[in-house]
Amino acid sequence: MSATTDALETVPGAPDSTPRFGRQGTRRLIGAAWPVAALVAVAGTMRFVGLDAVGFNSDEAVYAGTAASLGGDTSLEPYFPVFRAHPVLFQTLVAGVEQMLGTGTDWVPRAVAAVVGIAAVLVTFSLGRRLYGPSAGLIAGLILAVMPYHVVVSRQVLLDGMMTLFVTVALYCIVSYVESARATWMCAAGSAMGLAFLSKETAVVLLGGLFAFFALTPWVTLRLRHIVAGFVPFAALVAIHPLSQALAGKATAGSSYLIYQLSRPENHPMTFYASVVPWAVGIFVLTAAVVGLVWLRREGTWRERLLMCWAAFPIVFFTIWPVRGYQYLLPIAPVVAVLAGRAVSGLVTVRAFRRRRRTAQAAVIAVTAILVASLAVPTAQQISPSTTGSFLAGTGGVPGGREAGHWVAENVPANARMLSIGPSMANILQYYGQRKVYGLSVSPNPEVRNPAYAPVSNPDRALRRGELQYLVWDSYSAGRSPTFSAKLRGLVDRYNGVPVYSGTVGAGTKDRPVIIIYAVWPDP
Amino acid sequence: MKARLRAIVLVAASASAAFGVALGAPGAAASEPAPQPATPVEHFIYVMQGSATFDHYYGTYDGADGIPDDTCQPLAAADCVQPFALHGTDPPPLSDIGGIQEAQYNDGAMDGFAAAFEAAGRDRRAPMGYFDRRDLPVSWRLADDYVLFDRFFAASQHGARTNRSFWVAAAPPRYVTTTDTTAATIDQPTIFDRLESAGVSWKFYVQDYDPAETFQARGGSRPVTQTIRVPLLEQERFVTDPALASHIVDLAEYRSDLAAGTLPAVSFVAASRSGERSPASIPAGQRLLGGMVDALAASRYWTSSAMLITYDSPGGWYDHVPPPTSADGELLGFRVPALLVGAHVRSGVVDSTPLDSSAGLAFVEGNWGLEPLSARDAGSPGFGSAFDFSAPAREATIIAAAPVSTPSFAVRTAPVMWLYGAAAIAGLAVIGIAYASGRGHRGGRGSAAPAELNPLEQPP
Repeated sequence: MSATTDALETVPGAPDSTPRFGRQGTRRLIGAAWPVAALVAVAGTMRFVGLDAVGFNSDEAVYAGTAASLGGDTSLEPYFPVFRAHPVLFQTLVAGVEQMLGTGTDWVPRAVAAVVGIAAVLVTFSLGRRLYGPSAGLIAGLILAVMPYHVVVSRQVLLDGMMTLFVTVALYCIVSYVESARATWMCAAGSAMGLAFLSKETAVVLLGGLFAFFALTPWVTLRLRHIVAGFVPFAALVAIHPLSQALAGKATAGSSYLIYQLSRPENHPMTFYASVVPWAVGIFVLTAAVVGLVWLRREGTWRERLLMCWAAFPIVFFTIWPVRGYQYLLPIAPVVAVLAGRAVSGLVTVRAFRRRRRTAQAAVIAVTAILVASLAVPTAQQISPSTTGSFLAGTGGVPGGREAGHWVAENVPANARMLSIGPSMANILQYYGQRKVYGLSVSPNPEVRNPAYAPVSNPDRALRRGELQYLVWDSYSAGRSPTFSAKLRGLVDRYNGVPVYSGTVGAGTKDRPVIIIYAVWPDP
Repeated sequence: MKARLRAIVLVAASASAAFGVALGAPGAAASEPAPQPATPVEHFIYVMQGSATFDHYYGTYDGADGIPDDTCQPLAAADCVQPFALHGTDPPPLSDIGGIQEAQYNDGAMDGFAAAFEAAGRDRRAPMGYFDRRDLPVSWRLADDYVLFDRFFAASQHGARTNRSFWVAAAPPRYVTTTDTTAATIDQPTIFDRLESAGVSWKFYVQDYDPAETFQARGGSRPVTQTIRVPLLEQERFVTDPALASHIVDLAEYRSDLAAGTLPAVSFVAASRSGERSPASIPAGQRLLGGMVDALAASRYWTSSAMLITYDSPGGWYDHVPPPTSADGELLGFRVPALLVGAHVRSGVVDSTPLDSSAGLAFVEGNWGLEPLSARDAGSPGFGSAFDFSAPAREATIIAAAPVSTPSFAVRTAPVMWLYGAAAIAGLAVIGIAYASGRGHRGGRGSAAPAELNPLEQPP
């Protein structure tokens, strides 16, 4: 393998950033700091305003519950065991922060996610700056700071935000490696990918994009020792997951989940991402990124190829993979933002602006403002509490779930058992109510059910025996599983269900509650 | 015009009466405020089941006065019958032998249980069978968690009808002489008359309630079974007065009252198919009791309620404790199972205060300031010792077992926290070193790379 030359790193025309002291140094420091401060302000505002206005959704409840269990909360441990499916780096971070700031609120776990999201914005800024200059970096950072996809996900207690942060760091390291050919960058890239894996194991999909890039770009080559330098820290960090399971006394949790994932039926159609993600990243932003790729194709380098491979591989993979979650493609968001930033900052090269620097800058600012505004409006709408009875998993908290859970905690006997339509509402009620809630849709067949969930193999028998005291209907689960909703309604009728809690959200659902809890009583 | 006015007045009166009933404030006393309970028990539920003795249900319960080790009931020949567990068998109901209790009592010797059956030509071994935790999971669990009375006697040595009369009136049935075969044959004051007069809300919940099955449906002189279980239905006013009759409702309303917040102050409950009158109905009875307690536990009334569960008569089953005489000088029946359940009830206590069903009436009378019905309830020692009102109300717990499910296993969290923490620090350190060395290698130029292309970046 031939080496990438160090000459790649020293690009002609780069500004001299040698530290200087005195007034000029201060000016330089302010000049370097204001973009960071501005990005933190914008990203922080979008992520922290009304952060806990709506309670957790199912996944958030699971991860916050896992974090609480890790932190030693024995009341949640029976419902949220530490090892369910994923590695627990993010949950460990949440547990650590909660030990410092206190537990029992939705705000702290979500604030951790929000801070991770802001960090991802800054890394995207650095990535864009490194690839295409300060303007492109700043525009990319601004776009990600207000992008609905990234804002919505990074306001939730989800693993994808931290995974996206570390894969973006890894991408930055790869870029630095390609530019410098130094093994330390490959080592850093391996570490970042390892941390991404410990955040969420699906990060390994990005390695496919990396492989595709090096395979398709033969003039950017790798040394074997550099590959080893990257692989060793990656493998060492990946090994933490099974090692921690073994030391904790639960060695097999992950494998059974993997088997389940491999055999899961399709949960969304193959067109899911095509119909959702363009709107989530912003149609104008996506258009700008694509237009930039076409418009600036003559100026194309390995950089665009790297970004394209990085984004394309997970898109293809998760489109084919039958289990599709809204947030799974979040790692492509920084790439789209950087490509859009490149396109917008490239306006200064338009011939019409060649001798009109101020006009060119004004055009860049105007287009950036339009893009940011086109993102900020839908983002503001999406982070506002919903007043409808439907919900797409991963797009925010579940309205009414927290209130129902609190009612359960206050009004349901400690050892009572409940049955909901599916495990999603069960997770929420278990988190807030700390009562055992089963999911009717959880299959008794171990081959087709999530091993983290306990089924009720014969709900009729359990109800006849009085083993279940409450049935829970919710409009969100009913919308996704009309069959199980009808089945639960049938059980309510058969076992003399009496509504004891009825939860509505906003004015739109006053006549149609989103959550109803029935007390049931079998005929003796 | 007058007829129309009268109709309007009648409708208005009916509506206001119905509204008053719905609110649990009976018409006559609606204007006076209902007496406040003297204890934190604002709702008292009194459940009367069928036939059982204490030894039949709790004869092997630890800590209670159960079946003595050397028990062997003599027979006519030089032989005896020992108690035996009924678990795993399918025992038939005990034969109904008139006056058997007196023979079993045998002037206080309590040695006629097997002999009485033998003399009647029935299975002499049958009355010595007993159940245990395996057959009575709810009853035993309630005994574990609340108060079990091991000196609670049937109110009389007669059958269910007399005992149920004591349940509501603290006295045996007081018959009226009539030649009208469709007229009520019993007329006596009951606890419900006292409650009605005082304006205390009440209901009588009846499983499978049939409003037509009253004294009016009696065939010949033999009462229909519902009127035995619900003695009020033997009395004229509780059948023909709509205001009083409206208090007698189907048991299904118990759950809806709990959910709707309309549970009355005093509730009596009579089961039918779940009444544990025979061994075959015990599983249903256990489900009924568990369901009622769990429903109460799951309701807003848990902290303000107490539930007394007992059985009307021994039914021929063996018990070893000779009954004492009551406050009115009458000999009581054999011991029957009795439990007191509630948020203010002591936990896991076996209470040996000598009681009978009038103790429940005495509690109602004492709690709401009502006059006693007879010398029996007036002289009842009561079950105040079973309560602990000085302690905070107990948390509600569900009696029914959880569905069989995969348990989750606790793990050691400390190694997980340490390993992940160390991994994060190590990983970030490597990245930091690379970044710092990159800056140094580049002469501190920073990472700002311009967009200009380097020829070396292009494919050859």
